[in-house]
Amino acid sequence: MEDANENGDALPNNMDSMNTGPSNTGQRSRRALRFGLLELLLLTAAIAAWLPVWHARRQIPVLKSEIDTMLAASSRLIVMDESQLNIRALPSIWSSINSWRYFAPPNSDLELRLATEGINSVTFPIDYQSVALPEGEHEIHLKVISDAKGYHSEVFLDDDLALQIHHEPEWLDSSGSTSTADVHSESQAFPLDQTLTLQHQRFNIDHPLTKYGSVNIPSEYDKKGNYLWISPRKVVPQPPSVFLVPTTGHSTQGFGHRQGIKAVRLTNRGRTGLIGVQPSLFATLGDERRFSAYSPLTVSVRPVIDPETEPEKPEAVSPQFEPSQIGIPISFRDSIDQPKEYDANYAGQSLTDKTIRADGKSMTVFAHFKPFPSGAKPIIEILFDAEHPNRVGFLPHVATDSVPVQACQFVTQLNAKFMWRQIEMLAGPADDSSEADGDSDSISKKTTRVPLAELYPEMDLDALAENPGTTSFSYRLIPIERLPRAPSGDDSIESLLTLTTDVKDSSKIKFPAGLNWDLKYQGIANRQVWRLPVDDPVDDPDDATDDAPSGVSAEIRAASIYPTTKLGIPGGPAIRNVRITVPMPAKKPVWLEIIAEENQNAKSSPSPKK
Amino acid sequence: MHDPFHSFPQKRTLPSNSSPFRNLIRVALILSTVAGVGFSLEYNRTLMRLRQDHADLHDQVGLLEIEDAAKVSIAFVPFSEDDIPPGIEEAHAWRYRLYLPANYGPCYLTQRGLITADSPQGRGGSGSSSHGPRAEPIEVITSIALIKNDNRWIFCRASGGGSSTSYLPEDFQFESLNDLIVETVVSNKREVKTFDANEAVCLFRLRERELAKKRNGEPEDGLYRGFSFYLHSTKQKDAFRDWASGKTEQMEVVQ
Repeated sequence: MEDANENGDALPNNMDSMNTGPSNTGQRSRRALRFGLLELLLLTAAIAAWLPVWHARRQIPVLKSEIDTMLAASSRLIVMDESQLNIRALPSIWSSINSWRYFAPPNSDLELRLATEGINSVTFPIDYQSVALPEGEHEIHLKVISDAKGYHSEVFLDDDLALQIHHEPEWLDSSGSTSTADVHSESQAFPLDQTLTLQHQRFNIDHPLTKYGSVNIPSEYDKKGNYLWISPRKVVPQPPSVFLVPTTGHSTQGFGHRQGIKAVRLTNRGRTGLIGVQPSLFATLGDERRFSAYSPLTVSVRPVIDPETEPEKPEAVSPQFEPSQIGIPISFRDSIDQPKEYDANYAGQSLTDKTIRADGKSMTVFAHFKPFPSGAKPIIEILFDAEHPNRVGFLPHVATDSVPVQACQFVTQLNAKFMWRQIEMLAGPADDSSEADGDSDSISKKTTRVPLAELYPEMDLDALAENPGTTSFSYRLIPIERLPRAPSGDDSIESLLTLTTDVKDSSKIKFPAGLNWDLKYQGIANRQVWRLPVDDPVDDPDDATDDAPSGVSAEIRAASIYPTTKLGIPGGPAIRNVRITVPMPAKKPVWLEIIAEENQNAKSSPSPKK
Repeated sequence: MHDPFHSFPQKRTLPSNSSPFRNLIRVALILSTVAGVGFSLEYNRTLMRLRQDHADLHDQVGLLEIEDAAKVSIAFVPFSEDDIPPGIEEAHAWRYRLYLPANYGPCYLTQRGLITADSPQGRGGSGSSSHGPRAEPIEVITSIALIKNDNRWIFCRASGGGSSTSYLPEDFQFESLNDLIVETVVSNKREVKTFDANEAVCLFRLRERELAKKRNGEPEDGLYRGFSFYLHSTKQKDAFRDWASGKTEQMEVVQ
């Protein structure tokens, strides 16, 4: 009998609704999603299993942070890898004692080494004391003090004195030092085949002119200090080279004498195309060397195509140059040979040890200029000699596909910084015969320092000293015959163009307000010397032709204001540029030397052989 | 007619409990439980190790517990004879852990020569250092040491990467610290002291018991031979300087 409602309509039959239609599917779905007790228990178990993980993940960072903080205050060493050297620095109670705790595995074959001299950034010191590093966990202490008896460096292994070096009080004149290290207060692990610096302390030296200043010694120079390091016993430091080769192709680090004059690749604004000159530290002692690319002097190389026209300049023409006028870039290379293709910026070539001669006595780098607009392609051979750390030589060449070049000019710039305003000249012309008979170190003694006023008799330089204005000075040719001469290393003769200063103490100079720091000279008095080859006399005068190259010429130009400023040079006009013109093809280099005034007698020795 | 015996729907057979979906759920839960147990064991092992390390270090150097993040908190770090490096004739050292709140900018003043008993004022020489405020709180280890070298006492202090060393007069000699007045901000590892960030804190003061003597033998007015070491914030720099130089009798705190 069919069920019916009060209206007589048939009531739905549940069986029917299950078997047919959408409501039947919904019921099936709800049954599929239903969870039983087993699922509930499994869910509870899963939550219970993961709760400790969640709790631990919250606690672990907090604990680690507190442990790190406490470790810094403690002396505990965490051994992170028992197969390596584990080490940390310990908190120190006295700045004169630094301490470390280490763990060395068995058979690690390590040495602890201490040196106090010959400390540089190029290699480890070659003179050092050493002791075998015992395996296991131990402490190292380095004590450095100075007293009336001198300077004392002592190294303790645990409580035992292991190494000590003592120096007399006169060993050092220093008012400060800088220190670096590879090891910090956190425990670290290092491979056993690696050298590890514990303390790299370098002493500064007192400023030669001021009471309280000090001089930062460039990192590649040998310094006194305290160098404590751990090294594999089999690793023996090699003696550092006399010369320095930059490690990357794009580096602005200078190249040349490691502890002397260098040439620098310049890339900063307005200087592309110029060769930077970085004098030896000892020739400019006291001058501030703020950045690694310290180059207070620059050389502009200008090929002369036509003697009647002004030669092209490799540097940008004016300070407000157009973006396209960035100067002629230079590629410094190991070889005079031109590559098939230079990289777009002329910057990618790395200098290598090929620049250093096999016997280590000289270094040669070739400066390849990008072609000038005229088609001139100069290649300048830059020379360094191990016996003369204050000299750099320039020998001009041209590429095989260059337009003919009559001569090459070398124009030094930024000379005003050094306030050179005198030239050493002979009272009369040099006498070759007297030089040939004299001893190898002889230079004519009849020299006098000729002031600039004699070269510019038409100008009132004293008035310009008071009111510099913007007076323009022209180049003045220096009579070669009035320059002193000296024998060269290859038994030939050189003329010496020597610029000197009348400023004995630059610390007393009052520089004009607003002068940029890099134009303020604060070092010792020095001189710029150009050593110019004198033509070999022609054996048979009939062989002399009009085409034979004339000799090297020298000119100077003065200025009363600093370059790119309107600020007067203290003391009056000084030499702004030196222009050396070398006829092509050149056979012998010209040498530029920047030397301290007090060393000029000791250093006036013959030029090196090429 | 309504049949009561047939009005209720007959019991029907429901679908089986082991549908594929539910089986999947069960397997997932079981695997999750097993994984959870595995990870729990690993994490707990790590946690136990860290707790052990924490306890060892806590025993060695103490723990700086911060109650108020806006205040300066200072804890004592135990220092034993074993911590004194070789090559030193004699040494006494004190070490603290300083919690400095955000934007504090610690400034330190060391006064040496002649000092007062209760202020940073003095005569003879002083040295100061300061560090810029940081957005986050920092913890700094500060150590103060009296070291005897070459029969002369040296005062050394180091904090936050900076250090200074001063030589005490040659005739400043003592057999034991009991001969002097030594005041430390905290003296045992269970103690943590809290200071308002605007307050100047005397971290350490060491002085002779008697007043210093003038050249004529008369005692100095309120001055003792010794040294003191103070901490204050960058904000109070000027106020502290006025107090230390004697311009004001107390530090006029800047709020």
